[in-house]
Formats: sequence, C-alpha cells, structure tokens
Amino acid sequence: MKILTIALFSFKELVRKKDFYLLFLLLAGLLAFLFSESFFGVSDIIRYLKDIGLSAVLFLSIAIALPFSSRQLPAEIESKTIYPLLSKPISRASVVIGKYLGSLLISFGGFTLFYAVFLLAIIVKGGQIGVLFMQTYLFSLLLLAILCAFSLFFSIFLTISANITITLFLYILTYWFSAQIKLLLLSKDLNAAAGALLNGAYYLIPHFEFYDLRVRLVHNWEALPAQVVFSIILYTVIYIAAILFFAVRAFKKKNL
Amino acid sequence: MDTILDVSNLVVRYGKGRDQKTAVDSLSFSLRKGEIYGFLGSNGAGKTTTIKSLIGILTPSSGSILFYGKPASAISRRSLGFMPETATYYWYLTPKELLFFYGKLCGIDKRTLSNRTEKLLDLVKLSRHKNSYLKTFSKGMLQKVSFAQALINDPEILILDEPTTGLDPIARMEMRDALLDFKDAGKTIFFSSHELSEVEMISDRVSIIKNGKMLREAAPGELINDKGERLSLEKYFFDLVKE
Amino acid sequence: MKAVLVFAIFIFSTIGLSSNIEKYNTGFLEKKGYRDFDKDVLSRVFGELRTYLSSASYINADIYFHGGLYDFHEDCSLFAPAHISSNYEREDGDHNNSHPQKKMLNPLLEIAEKISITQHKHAIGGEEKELLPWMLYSVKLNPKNEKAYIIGGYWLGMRLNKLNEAINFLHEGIKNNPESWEIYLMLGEIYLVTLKDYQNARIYLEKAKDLAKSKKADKFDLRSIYTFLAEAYDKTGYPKESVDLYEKLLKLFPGDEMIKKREIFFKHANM
Repeated sequence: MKILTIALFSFKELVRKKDFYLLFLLLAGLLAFLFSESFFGVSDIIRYLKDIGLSAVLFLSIAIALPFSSRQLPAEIESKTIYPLLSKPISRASVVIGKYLGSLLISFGGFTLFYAVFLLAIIVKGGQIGVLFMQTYLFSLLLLAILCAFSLFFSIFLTISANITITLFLYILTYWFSAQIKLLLLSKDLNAAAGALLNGAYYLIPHFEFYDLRVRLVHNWEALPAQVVFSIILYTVIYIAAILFFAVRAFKKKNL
Repeated sequence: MDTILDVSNLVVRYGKGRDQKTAVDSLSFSLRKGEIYGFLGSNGAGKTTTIKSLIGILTPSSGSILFYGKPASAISRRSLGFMPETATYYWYLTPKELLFFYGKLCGIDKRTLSNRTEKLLDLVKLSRHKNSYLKTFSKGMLQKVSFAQALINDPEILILDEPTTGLDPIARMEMRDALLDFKDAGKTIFFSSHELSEVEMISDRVSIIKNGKMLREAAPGELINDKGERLSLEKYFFDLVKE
Repeated sequence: MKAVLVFAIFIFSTIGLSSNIEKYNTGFLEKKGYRDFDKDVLSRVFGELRTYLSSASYINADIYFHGGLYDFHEDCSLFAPAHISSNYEREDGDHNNSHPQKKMLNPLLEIAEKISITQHKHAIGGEEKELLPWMLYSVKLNPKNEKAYIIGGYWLGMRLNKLNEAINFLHEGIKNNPESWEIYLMLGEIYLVTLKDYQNARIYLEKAKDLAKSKKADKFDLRSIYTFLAEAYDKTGYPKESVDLYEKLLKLFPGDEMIKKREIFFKHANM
C-alpha cells in the first residue's frame, strides 16, 4: 500500500510537468506531417508511417522514461525531501520499489497515450491492427520496464545526466554485443571453456533485442508464438527482480 | 517521568581510513516524556548527524538508540514526527496533497487524514493556500508546511531541526505557542536551534555539544559557570563553546 | 535533458548507419566522381550529413524491398525482378544468412533464434509502393543521388504503372544531374517498354549513349544502352543502326551467343 502511495504520487509529477505535453505535441505533429505526405499520387502507403511513427513513439517514450526514473532518487536526495520521507514508517526498500513503480506508471502512461495516437493514425490511413500490434505494445512496455530498472539502479551511484548517457549506451551497445556473442556461440569452432564463458556473458547481458518487433510490424511478418512471448515476459520479470534486488541493497547501504 | 528516548554512547563516523571523520563522539542523553529538550551547538557540531541517527536515516557506527526501551525501527517511526532543517518539498504537490501523501505513508485512514489535514493547515495558517502548488510558496510558508507534515501522524515525539528558520517574528511566536501546547498534551519535543533566546524560553532541558561531544546538559535555569554565577543560556553557550 | 536528447539522436544515427552509409557512399559516389556539391547552400551548411541522410534513405528503401533486412550482395539489389518469389519463400544459396542447425544449449539463444528474421522476402504485388517515400526523401535530401532517381523511376514506371509520375521524377533527376546517362537510360527504357513510345525512347537512349561514351562507361553499361537503343531504332525505322549497335556489342562481348542471335535477327530484318 505504501509502495503504491509513492508510485501514485510520483505519477502526479508526469501529469503536472510540461515536458510530457510538449513531447505529445511533437509526436502528434510528426504523425500529422507523415500522414499528410503524398508520394507520387500513390495512396495507402503505410509502412513508412508505421516505421517512423513507431520509432518516434518509442524514442519519445524513452525520452520520458529515462529522465524520470533517473531523477526519482537523486532528486529526493538533492532536495533533501528524502529525510522527511524516510522519517515516516517506511523502509528504504519500499522507497526504491515505490519509485520504480512510479517510473513504470509514468513510462507506461506516456507510452500508452503515444501508442494510441500512433494506432489511430494507422487506422485512419487504412492499416489493419492485428495481434502483432498488441505484441509490440506489450514488448515496448517490457523494454521501458527494464530500462527504468537500470536507470533507477544507476541513479543510486551516478548523476542524472551520467545515468541517462550510460543507460542509453548500454541499450545501444548490448544490441551489437548480443549479436556478436550469438554468432560466436552458433559457430562450430568453439572450445568448452570459451563456450561456457560466452554462455555466461549471454545470460548476464540484457537482451534489448528481444523487445524490438519493429521489423516484424513494419514489414508484415507473422506474430510471435505465445510460448516465445511468455518466455520473454518471464525473462524480463526475473531480470528486473534481480536489478531491483541489487538496487535495494545498494540504497540501504547508501549514506544519506 | 518515563524515559521515552535513550541514546547511549552514540558514535557516528564518516569516511574511511585517513579521511575518516567522527561527527558524533560517544554522545549520551535521554528524553523524558512530555519535556521540551533543546539541542544546541555551533555549525558542524554534530546536531544534524545526531538527529539523522535518531530518525533512522543514518546508521550509527556504534552505540544504541532506544525508543521506549526498544531499538529504533519503522515501527518506532510511527510515533515520531520529524521536521527537517531545509524545508523543500515536491513542487508539483499542494500542501493538502503533501500531507495526504505523508499521512498515507504513516498508515492513517482516509477520513482521519482528511480531518487532520484541515486542522493542521489551520494551525499553521495555510488553509487559504491548501490547493496552491508548493512551488509558489515562500520560505516561511514552506517552513510551516514542514511543521504540519511533522505532525501528520500525531506523533509522541517531535524532532525538529531549526524549526523557526525563515519564520517572521509572529510566526515564531505561534510556533513556540504550538510547541508548548503539544507539551501540555503530553508530547515530547526534541529540537535544535540557533535562536538561543527561544530555546531558553520554552525548553525544560538543554544540551550543548561541540565536535560531536556533549559539553553540558542542564535545565536553562541551572546554567552556572565555574565561578558559581548563574548565566543566561546565550552567555553560557558562548563561554562554553569558545573554550 | 534537451542536450542529452540531441546527443542521443546524433549517436543513434551515426552508430546505427555509419558503416552502411560509408560503404554505399565510397562505392557509388567515388565511382561517379562526385566529391562536392558546392552550388547547394544546405550542403555547404550541413556538409556530408545531407548526403549521409540521403544515402540512409536509399538504404532504407532497399531494406523495405527485402522485408526489413539489409543485404549487402549486389545481386540482390532493388532491381532484382529475377529473384522475385512469393512472400516468405526461402531464397537460395548465399542470398540468405540462415544459420547452420545447432543444438541450442542456452534458452536465451533459442529465444533469440525464434524472434529473429533470418530469411528475407521481396516486395511484390503492389508492396513496391512502400519504397517510394524513401526514394523521395533521398532525392529531396540530396538531388545528386542519381541512383534514387533511377530506382524510383523504375518502380514507378515499370512496376507500379505510375508513368506520368515516373517521367516527371526522372526529368527532375535529369535537371539535377544533367550528365547522368543512367537516368536517360531509365527514361528511354520506360518509353520503350511500358509506353511503347519508340520515338521518345530513341531520343533519350541516344542521349544516354552519348553521355556514356563521354564518361567512358564500361562495356556492361554500354550493353544495356545498346540493346534498348537497337530495339528503338528497329521500331522507328532505323534497322541499319540496330545492326551497327549489335556489331559494336559483338566486339565488346565476342562469343556472346545472345548478342550473336540478336545481330543475326536484325540483319535479317534489314534485308
């Protein structure tokens, strides 16, 4: 209940801050521009709208999620609101979990609104909304959830700007790194020791590529089977739980 | 009088190795139920560190802090109200929402919270501004909000760090009167302040610390120097701290 | 926050696209001798960034053609009618980057394999229209991007039946790239094959021939021009010129059976 209280009150910040509305207007403007574009008099061109629209939705959602989640704890400490907060009968663990949930609410709320506008644009343009759109929505939420977890964890040690930069770099680099390890693991010439090491590394690094369904969605490939979807959800939950575990431990030891 | 808070050989150290600094050095004192206890010291004496240890933000390096004979924990914080030195709060909330927020964290039900919020805002004379965002508040108004939030859970012990900072003379007087009223209601108040005259006016006992060590603890009327002269708190403090 | 956002956009675009863009740029532009666009103010202000973005748009069209995957193989270009197959069919040989079958010991690896798209498909049955935005953006960003004009013109004129748009697009390409024989060739091809306007086809193909000669185009480029031009000559009552062109081609490709057959065909037609 206390965790939920912290989460809900953090959400008020999103609603009352102007950044969100600015980004929303930016997205609406971009979609309107894309919608109005005419290409040699050919109608029903929709993939570019899906591609650019979805990329914009994801980018802007991350632009909301990362700054908010990276600011939750440092802002409390910097402004010293952490003292009256921790003077109440609430544990540090509850504060961390509550702030994380608040970040999730903020990220999910922003993304859902952006995605709704994106879907509307697709429908009006004549596109079909199928299972893959739902999967994309779900996976994007999972991506935001894991990014928020990382950001919250890093916020215990780093400044806000360093945190955002590191999290973004992690997001970009693990895409490449994950692909390289995968190629090595699938190659035939790999000794047992190297294989074990690479397998371990493959378990440890976050697999952001799991959540990227843009190619499937834009180019009308088939939806993912249910088993794969559940596996990825399970993976995400376990990974986030691990990050939060370490975040709580670190915050408990932090000298305020 | 019952002992409500017992601090025994409290030591708080910061840093490691050569850079280690002892902020509080074997500090011992106790609070009796229903008393107003003034905690004095110059800047950097260790007052805020002591207070942070009392409310559980800092883990002491050694020593013990007992509330009603039991170690400090989340449970004991239910009967504790804290007013920090710096009154900064969430700019995007109104004072009413802020009190609601803290009240919910203390586990207070909605109806009680609603009544109590109105009363507290009335007490600190902020009822007119209850729906204004905190970002529009002056320093003095924020200090009043800070005081109100410390009282939201109707605490047994009030710990106040520089409670009258930023308040105008009238507001200071109202704060002093409020503290005396709380004392009459059986609350215990522990506060630090640089306003020695105010401390002398309302405190039952005071302690003076320097470099983290307790120099003296006595009732304001019992402050006698080596020569046997009874001194004002201000004079006594300056003489003691300068030594 | 704004500085971080701008920085993030920059990082995303350069890291994500830099290797592909560099490969395309050095390969194509150096070959054509293009190094500067000093008449364009925006190019002077933004420099290579415009050409990079233009190249990125062109590459994106290629990606769209291949169902979201980018293939570096030249034989799988946007001109690949010979490779057209139904959607979702596997392509042969080195066309695909499928992995050898290997037992997955790592469940995460299994998930990664299941979600990745390893075989591409070609856009067919009207889906080619999805490439058009990227072609248009490509030339808007860099009017000197000849390839975008050529490919865009091809899809509009030869596959999407947008003949007026194709011709206008290619004329714009000529205006911005007056020395480009490839654009003239594409125009000629559209007039010849789709519009059956042999007069205009001859005019544009002759221009393509003249420009290609002055630019010292290779024999494979000349083959394309000569074969189409020969056809146009034949249709417009210049059979002797058709035969001449095929004789030139035989000199370039001695022993080529197809060219021999066509040369004999035109010789007989001329008799």
